[in-house]
Amino acid sequence: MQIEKEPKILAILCKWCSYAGADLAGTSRFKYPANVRIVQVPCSGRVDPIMIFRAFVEGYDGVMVSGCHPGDCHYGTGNYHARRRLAVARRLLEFVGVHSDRMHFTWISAAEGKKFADDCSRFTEQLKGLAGTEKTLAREEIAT
Amino acid sequence: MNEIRKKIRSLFDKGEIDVMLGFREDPSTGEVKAAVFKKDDDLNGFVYDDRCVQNLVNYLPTLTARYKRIGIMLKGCDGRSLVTQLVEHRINKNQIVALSAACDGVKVRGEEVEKCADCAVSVSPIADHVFGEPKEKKDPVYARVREIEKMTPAERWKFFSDYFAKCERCYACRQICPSCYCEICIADQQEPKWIEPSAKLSANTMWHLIRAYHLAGRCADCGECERVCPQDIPMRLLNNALEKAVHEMFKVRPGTVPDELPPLVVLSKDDPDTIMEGKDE
Amino acid sequence: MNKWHELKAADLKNFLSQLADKWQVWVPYRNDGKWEFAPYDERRELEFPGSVIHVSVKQLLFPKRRPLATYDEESTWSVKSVTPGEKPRIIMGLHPCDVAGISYMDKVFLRTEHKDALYEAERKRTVLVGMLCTEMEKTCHCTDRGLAPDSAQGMDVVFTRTEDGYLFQSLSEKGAPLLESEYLRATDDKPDKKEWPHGKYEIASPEEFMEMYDDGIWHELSDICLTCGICTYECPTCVCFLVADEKFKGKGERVTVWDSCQLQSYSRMAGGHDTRKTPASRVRNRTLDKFAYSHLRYGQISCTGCGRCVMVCPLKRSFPQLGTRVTERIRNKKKMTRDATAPAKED
Repeated sequence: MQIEKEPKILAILCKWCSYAGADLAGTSRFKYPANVRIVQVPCSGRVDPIMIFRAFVEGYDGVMVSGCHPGDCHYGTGNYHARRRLAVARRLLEFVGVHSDRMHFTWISAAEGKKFADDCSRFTEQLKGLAGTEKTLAREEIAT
Repeated sequence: MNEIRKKIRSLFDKGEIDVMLGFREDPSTGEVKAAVFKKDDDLNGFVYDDRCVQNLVNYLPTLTARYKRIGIMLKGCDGRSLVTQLVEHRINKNQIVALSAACDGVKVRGEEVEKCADCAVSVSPIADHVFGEPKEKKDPVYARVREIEKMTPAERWKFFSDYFAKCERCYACRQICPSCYCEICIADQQEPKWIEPSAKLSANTMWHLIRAYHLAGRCADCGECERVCPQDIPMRLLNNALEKAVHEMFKVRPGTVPDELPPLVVLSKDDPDTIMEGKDE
Repeated sequence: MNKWHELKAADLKNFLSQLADKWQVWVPYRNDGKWEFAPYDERRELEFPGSVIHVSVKQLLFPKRRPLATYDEESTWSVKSVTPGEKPRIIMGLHPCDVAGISYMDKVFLRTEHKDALYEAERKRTVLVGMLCTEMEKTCHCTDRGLAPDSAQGMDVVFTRTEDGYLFQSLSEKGAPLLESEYLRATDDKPDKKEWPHGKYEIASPEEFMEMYDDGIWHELSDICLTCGICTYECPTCVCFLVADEKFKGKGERVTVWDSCQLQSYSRMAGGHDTRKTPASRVRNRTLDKFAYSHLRYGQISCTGCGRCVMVCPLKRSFPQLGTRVTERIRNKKKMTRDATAPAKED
């Protein structure tokens, strides 16, 4: 399989900051590409890298994870753990051959609707630049 | 070796240990294998040389349930393994008497094992009795990891997918690893079924990634996983890549400092955001 | 008794290329020091190992992942079958223990009441060309299991190395067409019969093993076994599998995948109940299955003495030693009861 011309992006957003930020992008009518599919988690600290691995295996072209800014986590310290986990997950995925541009890990607060829209647009463009290259990790098609 | 045997005898006589975990030679194959010695056993059967590859720390959880005090013979890498098990409270230090001999590398069927060239510790970081002179050890170089890091993503995936496709999902790597001890392994979870049991490339890749990830910051690099794989998959490559990454990012090498917490358990407010961002961001 | 045919060493490649016209020929190759069975390639260097190789041959008839059926977007199921018109297959270079393993798999998969159609199709189109061993590895003990390194039982064609080439003999209807080649010449030569050592891992009878079910020895034996399962994956007669459904983008596939009774999840059931939670129960299960249960079911014990379990065990434990230790305990128990019931000595 190859990276699609219209890449599919999974965005895992924390409920209190990033998801609210995405919501704000919507209500403020900031345009961002429909390539992004959003999943809400209570905190970025809940994100288990196995979700990221599984997303790539299920055929997603890119995965984005976002949480509250360090110091502002709704649960206090969840995003500190997330930072370390995402760092290790990135290193592991890059090591086995997943292109660095396929992952976007960031902090987006509830007020940063514009940042969310801009990040999505930029990430989508980045992935379009990889279109046609091998979609590493994606699972095999089933031949009937 | 006689010095070690004398010490074990004296530990038995003083009642400081109930059993001794060490190695015995198998006369029919000429190989050495793990053995439990009791007080009345003839200690001339106790062997300790460069054939003693196995990591004995694996047996401690079952043995500590049956005996009060256990003596264990450790190389440097085994000792790192013991440190990680103690930090995770899987075993109680009160029940262990650790003996460690300065290790100069082990051999499998006469050939030096690859992990020894990159050894971080010559003697167990936790040892009640040390034999021989510990050697000066340099920081590991991770030569194989650096070779992979020179490759493009496409080359890396070609390299790894060839190996992962061979995996039979026998889980020997999991069973032999002292740090893999979940009662129900994530690979066996049904709801949700994170990892398919199928022995195909994508499922095998999931397994190897998650295994490496769950050991990040906890792997002591005892090398057993690579030794036991029936398909010769270079398991340690993934573990070493993360060991290198964890050391660069958090300045920790698992198992080398007693009582040091695993980096992925520890909370730090001071990590720079750059660790999770891509190089171009 | 069919005649033996000789093949000069220099003609081997030509003979195999000729066979490759009508059959898919699979031979053992050494890849970076490790053996594997692969389709014949005249560019690769070919050598036949003189004794068993640790690669599991069952993979060729019973793959680690075997698609059974697929369904498409309209939810129409189609059951897989071997592609019609595909060339029949020769597996060449199997050893007597491998062939004994395949004979056992035949018993399991070709039972009349539950025949495995896919296996049957693969098996029918496969010709077994077995090779007599010229030596026994340290781990070999087929002679203790009723076999021999120079037994041709179950083979369609048997061959052996000689000083200047090979000797072939056809043993079945399937095998006869292979020897119709100008490179083979009928000869009165016969391979020498050898005396092979035995007695390394002799075991008790299946009935005696069954009586050990409740014995406490299993706890001792499981002390050092980590139930990793490697022995089951390389064993030629271990054929446990699980059936898994995989779906992606509206389509689905049902596959069989190798499983192992030694794994912690093997007997876990919905609700959390587990009949073989302890390592001791799993070690007992494998030992009794190999040396007793299979005899009850199929009339033969399923251990072929190939020694692969010993070769691959990470702890250098050997599965055969489990058999011999239980046998030792059986003998000791019998001795004790005999002494206890012996008539009192006369004064």
